[in-house]
Amino acid sequence: MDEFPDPEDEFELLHAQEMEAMREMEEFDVEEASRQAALIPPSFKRSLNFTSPTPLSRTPTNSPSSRTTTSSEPSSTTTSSEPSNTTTSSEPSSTNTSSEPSNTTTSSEPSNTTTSSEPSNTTNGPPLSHTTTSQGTLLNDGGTSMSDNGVERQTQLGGTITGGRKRPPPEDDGFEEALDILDQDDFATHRKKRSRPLVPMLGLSTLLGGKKSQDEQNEEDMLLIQQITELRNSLSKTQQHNIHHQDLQGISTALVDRVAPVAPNIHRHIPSSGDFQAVTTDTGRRFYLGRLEEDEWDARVAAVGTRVGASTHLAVGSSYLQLKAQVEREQIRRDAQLAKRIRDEEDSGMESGVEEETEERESLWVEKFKPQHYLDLLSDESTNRLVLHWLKLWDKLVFGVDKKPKKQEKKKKDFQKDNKFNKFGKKFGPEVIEELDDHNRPVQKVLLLAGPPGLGKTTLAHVLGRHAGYHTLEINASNDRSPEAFRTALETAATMRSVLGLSPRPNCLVMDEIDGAPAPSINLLVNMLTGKDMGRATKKGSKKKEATVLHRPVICICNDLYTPALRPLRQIALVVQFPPTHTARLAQRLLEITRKRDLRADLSVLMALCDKTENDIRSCLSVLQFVRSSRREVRLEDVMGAAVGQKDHQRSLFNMWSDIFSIPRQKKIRRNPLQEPLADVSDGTLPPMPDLNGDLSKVGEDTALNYRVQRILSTTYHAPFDKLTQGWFHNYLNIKTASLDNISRGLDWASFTDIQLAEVGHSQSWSLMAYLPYACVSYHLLFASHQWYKIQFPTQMNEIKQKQTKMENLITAMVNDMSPKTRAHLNPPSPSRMTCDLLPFLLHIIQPNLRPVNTQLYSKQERADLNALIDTMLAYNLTYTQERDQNGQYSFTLDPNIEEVVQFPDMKSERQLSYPMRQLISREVELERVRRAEARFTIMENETSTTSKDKRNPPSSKPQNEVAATANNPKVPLPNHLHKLQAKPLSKPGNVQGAGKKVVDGEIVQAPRDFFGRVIENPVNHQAKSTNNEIVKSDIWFRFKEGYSNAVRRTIRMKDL
Amino acid sequence: MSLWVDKHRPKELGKLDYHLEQAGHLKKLVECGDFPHLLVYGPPGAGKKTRIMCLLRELYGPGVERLRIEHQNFQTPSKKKLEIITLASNYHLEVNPSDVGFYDRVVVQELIKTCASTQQLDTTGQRHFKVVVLTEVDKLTKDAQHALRRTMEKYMATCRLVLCANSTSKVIPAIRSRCLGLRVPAPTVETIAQILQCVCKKEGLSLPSELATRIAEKSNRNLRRAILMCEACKVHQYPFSSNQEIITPDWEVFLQDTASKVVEEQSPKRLLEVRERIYELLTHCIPPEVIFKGLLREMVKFCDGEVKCEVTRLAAYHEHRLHLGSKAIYHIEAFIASFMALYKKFLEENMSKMF
Repeated sequence: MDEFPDPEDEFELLHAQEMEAMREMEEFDVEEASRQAALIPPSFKRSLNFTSPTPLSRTPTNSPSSRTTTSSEPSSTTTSSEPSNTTTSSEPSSTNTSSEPSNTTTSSEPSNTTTSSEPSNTTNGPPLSHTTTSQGTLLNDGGTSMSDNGVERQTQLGGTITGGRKRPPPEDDGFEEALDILDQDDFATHRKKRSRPLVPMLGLSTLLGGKKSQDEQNEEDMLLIQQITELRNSLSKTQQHNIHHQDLQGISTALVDRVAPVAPNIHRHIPSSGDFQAVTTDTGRRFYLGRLEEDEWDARVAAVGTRVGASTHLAVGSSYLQLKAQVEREQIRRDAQLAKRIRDEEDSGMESGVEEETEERESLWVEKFKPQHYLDLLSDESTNRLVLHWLKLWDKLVFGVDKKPKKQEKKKKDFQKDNKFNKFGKKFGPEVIEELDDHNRPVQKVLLLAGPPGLGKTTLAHVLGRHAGYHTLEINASNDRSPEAFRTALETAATMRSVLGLSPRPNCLVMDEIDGAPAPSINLLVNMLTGKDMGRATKKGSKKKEATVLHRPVICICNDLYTPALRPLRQIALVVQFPPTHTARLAQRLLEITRKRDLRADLSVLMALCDKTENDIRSCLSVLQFVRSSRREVRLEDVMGAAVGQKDHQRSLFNMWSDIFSIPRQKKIRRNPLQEPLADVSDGTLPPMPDLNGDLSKVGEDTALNYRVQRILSTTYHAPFDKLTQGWFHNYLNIKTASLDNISRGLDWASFTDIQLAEVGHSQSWSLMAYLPYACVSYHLLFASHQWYKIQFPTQMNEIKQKQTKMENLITAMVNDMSPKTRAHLNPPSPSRMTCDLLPFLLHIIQPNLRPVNTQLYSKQERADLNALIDTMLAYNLTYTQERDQNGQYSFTLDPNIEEVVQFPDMKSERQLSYPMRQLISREVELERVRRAEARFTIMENETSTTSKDKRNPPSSKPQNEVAATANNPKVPLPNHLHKLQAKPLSKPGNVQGAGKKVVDGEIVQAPRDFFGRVIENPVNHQAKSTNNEIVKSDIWFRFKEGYSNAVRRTIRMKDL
Repeated sequence: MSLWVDKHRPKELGKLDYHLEQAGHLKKLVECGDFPHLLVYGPPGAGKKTRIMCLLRELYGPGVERLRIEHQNFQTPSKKKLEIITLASNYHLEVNPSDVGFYDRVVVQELIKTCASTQQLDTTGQRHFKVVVLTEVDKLTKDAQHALRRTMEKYMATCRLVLCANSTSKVIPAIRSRCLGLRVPAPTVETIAQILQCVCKKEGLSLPSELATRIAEKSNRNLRRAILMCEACKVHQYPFSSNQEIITPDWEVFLQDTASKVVEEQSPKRLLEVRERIYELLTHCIPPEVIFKGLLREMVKFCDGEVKCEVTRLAAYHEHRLHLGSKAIYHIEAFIASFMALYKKFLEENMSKMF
């Protein structure tokens, strides 16, 4: 792979396609003749061969060889090498078969056998060296490489001249060669085939000049030659006549028929008897060339000999062996011809089919009119260039720079320089791959072509791959695409090149429809592409590192670029979004095709077709072919009636909305099916539409409306109606022209859609969905305008929904933690009922007018109010919590923040409690909560541990008294069943209670304050501490620390608070 | 229990303030030992739940007031976990199946089955049945209601159902026929005023009778709201004065403003503004029916006789569609838009008549 073929070959590589095409064109001229030649009985043809040196007579026999002359020079190709040229990939085998028998039979004639066994030398040898050495080789081997017809003739001539000489002397040979060349030259100029092959000729003719002296000795011989040519002339005339006669027959017979009877030696199936050699054409067809047994061969040759002998031409007196060689060559050539013809038929069966109108044998037009060359491509030029540039970036790695001639290299360098300045020039980042020292790969190692179907992505990849000198290898969805299969495909593509075939090109991998490939496969591809790191990481693994690095360009093709599986590939790929083909360009091409296919079509009709199919080349061609199959004219109604272009478009919501809100441009109304019939009327054909009689201008309007309706129906026929309606709802009021009537009608449709969707969701009757596109139509008809509006995505609904959920959650949070008794009477505790009835008032009620002073300073009434408030808040599970807002300010907010639920934005703000008030309430609520918990706990303690009651009495009585005293309300929510139990301890320490009260009263009276304005409760504490030392011994006790330093730190008991 | 609503709620059938005849019937019903399934219905704030609780107390004694909150878990056939909060005493179980929305059928079936399939062990001194209170029955899906009617018959021996609904129109006839319907009408304004006076007396406050009537009128004959209003008024300003401002919820004011905005100007631009306001109301959990009602009440004030009918018809039409559909905003906006169109035409006609 490293060495690149020399420039001449490269030229061939690059242009092999064109050259082949040219060759085929030439072939075409002579095809009839060659076919004719095949039909001529061997003896007849051979005799012709022997005796007709003049160009005129030579035409039928020369035709096969003339085709080969196009390659580089006229004399270089041999008859036996012809098969190798024509049946490219597997030809060596076929040449072997043909040469094999000749080898065995004609061992005595080395010159001929070598000719036939060494075809490749002659075909691929450089032209110049060949001409210079041709003399020598001719002298030595008796014309190694010159086994053209001229040579054949010449050897025969030599035979006639020398008269049954076994081996002609070298000089004579040289002379004959010269003669032959003269002849050939003459022939070449006469045919005016090509200017290029003539150049070596001239060189030879100058050589010839040097030998003139020798030639003069043989004037007699020249006379003889003239005689012979005359003879040939006369014979050729009769021959020509015969040809014409047979020509008609040959044309009339079908191709298959033509092949079968003429070539008993070539079989499409394994021959039932006899030896055979299998031959595979490059299209994959297999043929079996029957092998003749040696005896049979000899016998045949002998028979030829006798027949030849019977004719006048035996008088020439050529040796038997020469004749035999001749026969062999003839045989070989004929076989090769047949093989080639069969192959040609297969390759371009259409080529002949076109002329003969064998319609049933036509392949799809899509295949037939596939672009073959870069210039044929219909896709956007810039895209093509982009892709080609990228492919060319691989040249350095793939084709190497080793043996590049100066010019080529310079060119390439220029090219690269250009690349550096174009937009993706940065791709030449040096990426050293192990083993290979300085091979650069483009940074974007893979090309990702994305676009809707039918734009020619695959074609582009193939054509460009070929154009850049690659052999494209396609893997598509029909192949196995498991990771393993992928790996092997990639590895073979990267490491191998086709050994067989004329041009061993490097591979270019085309991965079609990659968006359908499984994600692991794509990951594998990505790993291989970014292979370097992976290779190192998995060095210990069984995988070989070099195998995981890709040295060949890979083109991936997908329809949907945003398939999740493609995500990793997108990162490393050069993503080319395939732009749609220009309608005009496509229509132009369609027109060409319709002309070629004898199909009458108007450009406007084709444009309409393009519009309808959204420039899908494939479906356009299919429609045309379909029409052609029945008729010779495409009319607009064919196009309109065809069920094409109704793909499941994945139109985005925004497209749908803009479709709804905009009236389509006038140009689209071209599709109006009534315009074409109008043209038809002038043609004299009957108008197919009966409604033409009406007012035409009005009809146009009608259909415009009709078209609009159809358009909306088609775009929205399976839209997500929910979102679609939301989007419409969100945007429709921005349409300035809408009247209130229209708005209310449109909204009616919106609510209709809503009802339908609800019903569908409820009863799962999806058939109702069919009515929904009509809502979209009415939106369109009511609100569409020519003006363009920026359409916003309807986020509002979701936002509202989120907000609502948030509110509901707030309320549910509140309800769930409410005390069961309160909850029981909320009927029902649903958020909506709560917000309507309870919460607004509750919010007022929990914000009473309290003085923001220490609670100790409250009057009894205030105190009662506060307690009531706290009780309410606890009952409804509300409290204040400190929060810090954005400005860094602290504030107390309600915990389930029902303020948010109740208050509306632009309402005058309600009276709110001040910060200290809220702080105070929050504190009180917290304390009350703890107190209740403690109360319940102590009660439970009392209840459970009746035995330890006596012991516990002194300490436990105190807090209970405290609770009773400070709370000063009898509504401590003790469960019903505990009321009795509570009464016992209360009744017992009646004195203590009184003492406690005194203390409390004393506090209120004295109210000594500390620095912060708090009541100093030290005496109480001391008292409590001194008296209730046993508290510490009890199971649970609290230690509450307040403040930051020791200065204010003090121990406060819960019960004291 | 310090809100007046809760504090002064009657706990026994004998202490009810109004519908005394009905209370007597209920008492007799309980006394005779057995009683059928009940379907209690009436507007909000009429005292349905109070009567149910009184009835239960009458049945089981004060034990029913010892309530606990239980979180029950269910699994739908599609393996979705549901949690619902129930309120239970030893004798009864209260649940709001519409909390779980679409899956209410599962709750109805499972919950009642588990509750009703167990017999009371000790029937001496107790009833031989338990009571399951289902609230918001009118919000149950049809599926759940159908599931319910089977359950009702099957577990008749061990279980009585008390259904509570605002309206029977959404309760399927099969259920209606299986229950003893008990309509609790909203108290009259006079009754409410009377009750307010009574409550204030208990609180030691003096309430001017004018204020009491005003509050009663403003409350839309919703007793709960009336008492809450009264308390809010008290918090706002005490001692009461007969012409003091009665606190109205924000959303009502907001809704009224919205309606007046609609009447003010009829244009797409205004419609867009109104939409924002409707969204605002919806986010604050105001039910769309209430919005319809509020809008209509305001709008009708600005219309003449014939147009009045038409507007009402439109409101009814769109509210009906709202119940069929799912997205309230479409229907409310459709109503507003059609009102705008109608009203504009009406105004233009008037103008042309004038000139």
